[in-house]
Amino acid sequence: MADINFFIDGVPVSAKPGETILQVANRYGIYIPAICYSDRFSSPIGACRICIVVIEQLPEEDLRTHLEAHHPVATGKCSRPMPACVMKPKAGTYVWTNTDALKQARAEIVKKWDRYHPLQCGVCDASGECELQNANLEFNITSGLEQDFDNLPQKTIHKEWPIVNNDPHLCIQCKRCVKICDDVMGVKALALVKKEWGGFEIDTPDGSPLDCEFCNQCIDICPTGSLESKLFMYKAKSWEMEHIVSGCFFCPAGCELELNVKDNKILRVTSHLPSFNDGNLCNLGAFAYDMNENNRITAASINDKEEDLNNVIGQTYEDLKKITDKYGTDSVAIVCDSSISSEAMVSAKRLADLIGTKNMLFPEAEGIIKLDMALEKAGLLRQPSYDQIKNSETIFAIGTDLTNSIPLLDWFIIRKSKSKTKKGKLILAHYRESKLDKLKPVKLRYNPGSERELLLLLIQKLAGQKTLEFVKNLPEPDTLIKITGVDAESLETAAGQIKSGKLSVMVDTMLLEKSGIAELLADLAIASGNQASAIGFWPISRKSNIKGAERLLLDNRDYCLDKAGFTQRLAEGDLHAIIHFGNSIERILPAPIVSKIADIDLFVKFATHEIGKTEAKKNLVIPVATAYEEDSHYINLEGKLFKAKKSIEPKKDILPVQSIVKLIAEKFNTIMSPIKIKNDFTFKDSAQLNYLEYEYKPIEEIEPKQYPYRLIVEHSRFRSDVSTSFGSGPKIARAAGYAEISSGLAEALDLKSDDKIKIVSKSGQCEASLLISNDLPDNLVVVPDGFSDINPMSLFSSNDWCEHVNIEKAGGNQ
Amino acid sequence: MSVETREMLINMGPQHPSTHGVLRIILKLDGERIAGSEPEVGYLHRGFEKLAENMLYQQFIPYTDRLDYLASMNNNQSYVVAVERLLGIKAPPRAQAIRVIMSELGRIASHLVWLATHALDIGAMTVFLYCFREREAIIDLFEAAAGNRLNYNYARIGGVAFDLPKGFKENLQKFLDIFPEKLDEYHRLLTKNRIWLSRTKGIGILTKEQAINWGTSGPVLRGSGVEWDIRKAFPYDGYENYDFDVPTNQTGDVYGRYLVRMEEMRQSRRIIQQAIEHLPDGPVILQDSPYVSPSKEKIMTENFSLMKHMVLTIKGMRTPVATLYSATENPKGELGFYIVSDGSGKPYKLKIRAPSFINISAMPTMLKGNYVADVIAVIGSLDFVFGECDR
Repeated sequence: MADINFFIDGVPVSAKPGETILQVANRYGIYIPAICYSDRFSSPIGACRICIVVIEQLPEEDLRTHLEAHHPVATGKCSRPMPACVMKPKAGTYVWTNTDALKQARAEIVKKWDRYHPLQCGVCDASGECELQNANLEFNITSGLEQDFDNLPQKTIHKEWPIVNNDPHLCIQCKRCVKICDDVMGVKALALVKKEWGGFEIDTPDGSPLDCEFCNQCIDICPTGSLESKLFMYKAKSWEMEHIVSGCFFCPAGCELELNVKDNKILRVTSHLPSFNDGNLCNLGAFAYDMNENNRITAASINDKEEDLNNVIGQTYEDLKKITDKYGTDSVAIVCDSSISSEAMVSAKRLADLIGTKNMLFPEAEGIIKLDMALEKAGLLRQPSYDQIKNSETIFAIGTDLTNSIPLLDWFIIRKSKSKTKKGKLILAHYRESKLDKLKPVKLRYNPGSERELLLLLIQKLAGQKTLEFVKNLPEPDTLIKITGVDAESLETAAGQIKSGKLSVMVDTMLLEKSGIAELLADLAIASGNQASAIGFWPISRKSNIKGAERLLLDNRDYCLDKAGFTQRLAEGDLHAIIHFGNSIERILPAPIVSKIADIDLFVKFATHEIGKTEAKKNLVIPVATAYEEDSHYINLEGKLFKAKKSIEPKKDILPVQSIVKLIAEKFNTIMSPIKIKNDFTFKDSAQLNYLEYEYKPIEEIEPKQYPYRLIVEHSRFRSDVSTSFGSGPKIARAAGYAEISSGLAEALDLKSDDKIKIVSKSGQCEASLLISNDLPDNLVVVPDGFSDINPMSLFSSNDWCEHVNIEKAGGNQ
Repeated sequence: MSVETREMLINMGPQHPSTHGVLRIILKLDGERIAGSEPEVGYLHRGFEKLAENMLYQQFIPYTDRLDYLASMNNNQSYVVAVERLLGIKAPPRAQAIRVIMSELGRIASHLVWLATHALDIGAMTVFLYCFREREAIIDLFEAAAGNRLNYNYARIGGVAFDLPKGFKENLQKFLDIFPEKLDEYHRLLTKNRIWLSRTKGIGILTKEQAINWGTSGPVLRGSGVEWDIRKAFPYDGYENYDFDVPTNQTGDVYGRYLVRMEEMRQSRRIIQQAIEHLPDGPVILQDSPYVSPSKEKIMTENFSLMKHMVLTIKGMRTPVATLYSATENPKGELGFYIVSDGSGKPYKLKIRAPSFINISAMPTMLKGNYVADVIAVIGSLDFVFGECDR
């Protein structure tokens, strides 16, 4: 379609097909005031009517004389006022944005908002960033409004809502909150509801207290102080805070945000625009900021006794020296969390070099490395970008709930579904329901544990007879369908859609640790018939710097120690010292391995928060700064380096990891240069795509009788690293960890929601309150990751992805 | 036997009592004659122009007080007129008239300090006492109106802070009645005084051409015979409605500048007389303007007024995106503000054209060939203030 040429205020402009007048004006820098419009929405709301314009159709000659004779102004023969955010331009028309009549009409609209607006700017948190205040000044409202503040309509202030304070008295009913909740988040938690007094208020559709993703979007987009964060209320005025643009380091999405800092304290987090995340933030990004103050380790310690930092550093050096002299340098292992910054990871590697060991373990990155190895062999190893998701034809997600794992991807997919031109296709292979099911994707509901069989089925559908060339012992399709329990019809549609074009594969890293998954995914991608450049693999994890760990390990492949190797070395008594960069080693390694740590000579921990305790013969704890307290870098899911900026000063004796490692290096008589993180990793393009050989072996699991259920760990959108448990916002949204079982199982065991239950496994037990879901298979127990009060890893006996457990009511005999 | 002669470098200031502030002059002397000189400024630099970029337009008004602190009223007026021109507004007639009264009183007060110190420097002690006596009357008037005696912070964007207090007009009239007599008294003391004449006539000559080329303004320019007054050339605050003359003198020496300033005081008195006779009624600050906070009563009772007030004090005014230069005729010369506005409530850039700074730069030209004792006469005749020169 051709561009549409028309005039705005006498300026010749041209619109692309589908653009509205307001969008064209914005592009040309012509100012049209608007309140309810935002680029963050897929379509305009059209509620505020501030962006009204008049349109006139004049013969060409008339206009020329008109423009030459006067300053451009509209003639009398205009249309009635039309909202520019909705109206599409017509070729050859003349749009006028600021006639006297329009000015007056806008003033009347603002007066309507003012009529019942309380006189409380002095105490309102929004003062200074309130768009109603701006509108009053802009349209210069001076008189003509009779107000009776003694007889305002009595509206309900929702103080009982968690996190969000809703005061409808301040609302101008622009519906931006309703729109963002529906359009961007896909939640629909808010609506404009008719009330008894005769007017409308923003409320939940059924009037119950708000229960949603608590993502801050409605608070952030509210033009007035109607929706306010309870965590921020009355803390500071908007103009007193410094706004620091930074990156969010709570999950690998790496969203851009603004930290609002006053007096060395983060008081709230606001959106940053323009940004690749469109200013959108999730509960963690927006409300977990005060994790920086709670439960911090403030002093270095030796065997739980507080010591001076320099003493502990000296002691670390001496003990390491003793151990390496006695047992050799190979007796030291370094274990890293994948949620620490790239600087900390490089420091860990430098420390390993100083000691002379190559034993580095990133337990959480094991899945991603497995995938990379498989993809490299297949010739598919590439770094996809977020744009690829926005443009990709088909998204195939397996074993992962995107809403809970990477909210950013969830927003991208929702936004895509609203688009008219780039809708794309979505295939969700999971054992339970998710929020994205609302978008009507192709659903492949399989029995948990049968992911390999499901992938084999899909590969067979796509590659046909060729499958037999690279898969050995391929069972009959009917057997596979029986094992997986998927709907044959959905399978057919899914296979057809995978074949149709560009493909993004999203898979949970926990699932990737299972043998064979990575290879089969590579085979599936090749079988889809796409070019390598049209295939993107997205390993989904909650650990913020999983990509940084991946890059470090791919660059230094001989430093790779895997979990199995580590377990073996530990069991054989080869390891005498472990240095851990992270908060809690018992959260990333199964319980039997952790219990073996008690026998080793030295355990050094570089941690930010107080979580759990690991007992070796000698324990050293060194407090380190969080990413709020130092300039640090992370690598996000699309492989881009982003910076979490230093926004507050750490307390005395809390140093960044790299400064501490520098001090240790000095003891080794080495001067450590400052770390500069570069992301110059390049992937070799491979011309040839190779199917990977795979031998199918059915799993012969003997279900132990005393442990009849399977425990699976899932992600929760309210937690990522366990340190996020100490943020107030996530805590309010979800106070404690839980165990989820199906309603059928609950009925069979006579358990009710919120009952305290005990989960028992071979290697441990823990208590949790019960949550009953309708969409779970009957033999599953699901426990979320990242809650400080429940550690699913303590139940695991090996590095497997699921564990056999039993559940019973806590405190009583079953 | 031969005597070796050479030029001598002498440092004058920056703590010299006759340099009228922290001016340092490096004098190159050939005997007692000045072969060359180099004024050095900047000892009082406070970074006003940079400070302005970090504050709202209205917050900068008190800073203008501290430019030429002998004529705060004039600086206030000059700045608010510049901002008003940027916004395309004009103060109400009464506010304009009040500003004219205040700035002309400021001109008289400033010139009185000039005369007092100038004469004292050259040796006439009596004049000093008389001038400060009259200046005291003006400062009393200012104190009654603005509450302060030196830095008045009286003008506002769109008007003035307060209306004239009770009894102001009467007291002002009393002053205006006696002032011509006093002026005559000064003339009797100096104008035909032989010592005065020999210390000022033919000293520190700046020709008409030099004065223009150096960019001088105010009495220095007019003392060199150029009839140039911004009040006439680009009238502001209704100066076009007043009848007054622009005194000039063709000689371009210290005496010429003395006569110009003496006459300017008489003309200022004329303007004030006209202003109080036709002082309009009405508000002293714009009402219902998007650039002026509403009255206290409105703020406390009307939400739209409260909201406007909040935005004006927090974010400032919605200015047009524009660049503008606006100048007014200050006692020292042309005080100009060059404002670059990016549409926000704070100036993107604010450059101040300080007349003292530019007039000082013409000083070496005036000094060359004169005796070293004439330096203070020339300094006095230039009448600069370092608050303004260094900013």
